[in-house]
Amino acid sequence: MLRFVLRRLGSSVLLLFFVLTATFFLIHLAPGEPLRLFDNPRMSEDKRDELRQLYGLDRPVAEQYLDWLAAVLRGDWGYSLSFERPTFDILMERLPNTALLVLAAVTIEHVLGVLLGLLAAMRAGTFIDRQIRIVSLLLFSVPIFCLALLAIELLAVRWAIFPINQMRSDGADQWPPLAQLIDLLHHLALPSLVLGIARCGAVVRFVRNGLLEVLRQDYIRTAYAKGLTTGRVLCVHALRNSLIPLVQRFGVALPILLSGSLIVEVLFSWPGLGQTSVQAIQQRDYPMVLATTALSGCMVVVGNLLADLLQAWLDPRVRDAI
Amino acid sequence: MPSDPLTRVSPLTRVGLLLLALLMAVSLAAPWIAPYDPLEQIDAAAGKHQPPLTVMAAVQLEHGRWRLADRVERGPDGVIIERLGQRQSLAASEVLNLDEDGVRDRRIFLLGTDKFGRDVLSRLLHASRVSLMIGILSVAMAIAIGVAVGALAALGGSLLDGLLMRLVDGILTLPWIFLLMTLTALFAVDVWMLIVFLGMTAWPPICRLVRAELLSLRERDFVLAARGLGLGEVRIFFRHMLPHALTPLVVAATLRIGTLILIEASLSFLGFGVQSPQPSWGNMIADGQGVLLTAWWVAAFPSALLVFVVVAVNLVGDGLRDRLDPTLQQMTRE
Repeated sequence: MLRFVLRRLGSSVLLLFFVLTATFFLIHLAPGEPLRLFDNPRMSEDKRDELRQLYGLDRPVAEQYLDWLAAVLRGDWGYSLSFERPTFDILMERLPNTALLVLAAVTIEHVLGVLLGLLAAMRAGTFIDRQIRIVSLLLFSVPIFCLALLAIELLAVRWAIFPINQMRSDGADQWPPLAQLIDLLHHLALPSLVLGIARCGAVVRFVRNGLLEVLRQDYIRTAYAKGLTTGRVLCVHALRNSLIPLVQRFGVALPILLSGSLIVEVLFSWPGLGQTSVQAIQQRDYPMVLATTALSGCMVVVGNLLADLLQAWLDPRVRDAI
Repeated sequence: MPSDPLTRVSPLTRVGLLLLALLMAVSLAAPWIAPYDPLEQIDAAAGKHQPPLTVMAAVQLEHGRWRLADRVERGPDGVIIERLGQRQSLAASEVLNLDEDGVRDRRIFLLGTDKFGRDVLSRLLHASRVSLMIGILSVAMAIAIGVAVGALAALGGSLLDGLLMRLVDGILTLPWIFLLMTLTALFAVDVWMLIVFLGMTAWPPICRLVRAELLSLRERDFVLAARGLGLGEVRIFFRHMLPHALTPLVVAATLRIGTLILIEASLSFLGFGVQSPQPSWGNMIADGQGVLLTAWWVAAFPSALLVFVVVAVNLVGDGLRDRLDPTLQQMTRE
């Protein structure tokens, strides 16, 4: 196990390095100056030179890259133009918000997906199975922003069941802690439900097909032969094994999860990483763009690492294979 | 490989394929069959958010200006136009398209209009053209890169294999939505650039698939036999190995088209993909944001088409896989 962990840690460090490098060069090698920072026609040439010097844009790219990498490792991620504060501080404020949204959505996604997938597999080939497959195919194909728009328009605007303004009600910081928590959950409910439900279609398919494959194996026949009930065989013997690949799927699907949360954050004005990134791009805040992109890359690498380690812990076959 | 996979697929898959082909033909023909110019805003104030099946008279004025009206009649010295119950008369000298009963031109908005009074049907047809083209061409590009890199990795020795596969791992970890947004904001992005960017992010899964297929094919007897016959490696690759890897490739590519259409729609929805005023499904849906209940037709038609296409593509992909891969088929039938 230790060898496996060390190997995975080593390759994660390499991946992290690759992600940072690729992010930097993709943004820097684009034609024109970063984010058309100097598009403003009223800006004087002197001011432009001053800005170039400030951001080190007058030096060779290789030098800029090394400086940037060293600074990132030190925790100095640059100074945001639009927030007028260090980008790292802003990111550390926003990261927990994204993490909260993503965690809630992933929980909803998997609980719903596993339940429906289990139901479909138990009733494979029947009416219920077909309905669940149709619904999951639809959820799989409906873009997240369509679902979000509909939810906002109906549940937040017309019937006003859920709020849509950011994470907290105005003046909520004066309230007692319990009221604050309830207020936060109330704000969290709709965005996390939208993200979770939009993504659960894939989990349903995954669980259903995985279960059907596991059910063909010999040890399931043995379990039946021992006289166990169908429910016990499915939920205890089969489901556990078919859930392990789900952990790996989670790691692989992380970039898609982040893009979904970005769209949800923008539509629900949820002050997370994705929303910050979109604002930064719109305001041509180039250090902020670089920082959000790099941080989201780091999140994917770390998430992948955690998923791999979890999978190895759950399934001895994985750690012995390497 | 079956002689003709399409004759053996399930009816549902065939229907999906037929509808997709129909939609593709219609959207290819968009410039010729769209009733109006998708960018045309002849009278934004009067034409704004008209519901489907609205017919309006179009009065041509001087200097290329137009007025839209609910009804137009001939008056004593020109025309009387009626709009929302208000009547106004215009002198005959001002109106350029007069005829006996009123004016010659009219606008039939079959699917309604958007907030600038543009015809939703015309925009939808042009948007389908753009969105489908981006989906298909970026997948074609992903296949080209994926097959080339996958073949290099599988057949180019273990060192190259290791390097290329690490590259693939790296690209799969890139937070592509952040990068795509940034890149499209950096470049003055057009549709072709978007296709290149999407293709560049979409090839790693295809590359992995091709590599895995080729690695197992490489050890098979018929490849050994071909080598024994003295055939060149290039010929063995193209004539003997690639055709065997084609089946999973077709399935993966089909499913990938759906994903890429969704990605393009997300980017355009956020304002980073196809740029307004050029229509795409994503930015048309964004136009309907906030008026979902009052002017539902603005977002509903592009959403419906988008969902339909992705569902059809997924059905076709699943159907092909069930047909072409007997082990999976057995699994889903049980």
